Amino acid sequence: MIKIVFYGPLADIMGRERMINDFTGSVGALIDRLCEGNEDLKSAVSRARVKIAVNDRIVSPDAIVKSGDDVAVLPPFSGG
Amino acid sequence: MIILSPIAINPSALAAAFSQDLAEAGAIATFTGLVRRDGEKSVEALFLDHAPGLTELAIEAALGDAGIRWPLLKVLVAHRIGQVDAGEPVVFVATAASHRRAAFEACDFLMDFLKTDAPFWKKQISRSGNEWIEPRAEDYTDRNRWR
Repeated sequence: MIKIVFYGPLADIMGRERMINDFTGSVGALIDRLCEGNEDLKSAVSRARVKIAVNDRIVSPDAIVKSGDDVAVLPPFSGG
Repeated sequence: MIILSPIAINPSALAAAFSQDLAEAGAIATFTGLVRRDGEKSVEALFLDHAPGLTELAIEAALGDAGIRWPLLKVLVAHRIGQVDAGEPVVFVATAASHRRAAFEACDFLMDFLKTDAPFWKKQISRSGNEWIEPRAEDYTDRNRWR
């Protein structure tokens, strides 16, 4: 099982957390799967410079995620 | 030192505590960022989301970077999380060094980092509705001065 956590505007669309079973593949493929049938998320992800963290490390879209990983979906940062 | 606080930041108290035990320092720079009311939009508050763990790690890395760039004696970043009402402090940064230029520049550097590269997300709450705020082009330009 993979835990996916959404932040900022993406949390408004997806809620804070989702769990996904039976997935092993790239981060990019995981995002594509999450976007299936969800036009709001698809639009937000394609519009924004979204970064992905796996187990608290920012990774590239071709990084592999597997069961037990924690994935964070991070829209553009805006602090201060 | 990093403080992520769901309760009000008191810049005076933080500055007073920060200046203790700094016998070697010749300069302390502080910056306080406030939630602007923004007259046109009648902003009532900001809501600050963050990624626990990831946010602290990113700030730690920036503090390490600042320590390599400037000979700092002490650094503090205090940032609000949750709802922050208009007029209240949302961020406080303090830097101490032997000389002013290092203190000024490190403080400036850390604020530019917090604006664009720290995992925070700001939702503006106003009478005309709520809206997630992204950094302005100027924020990225400011950040890029340090690259």
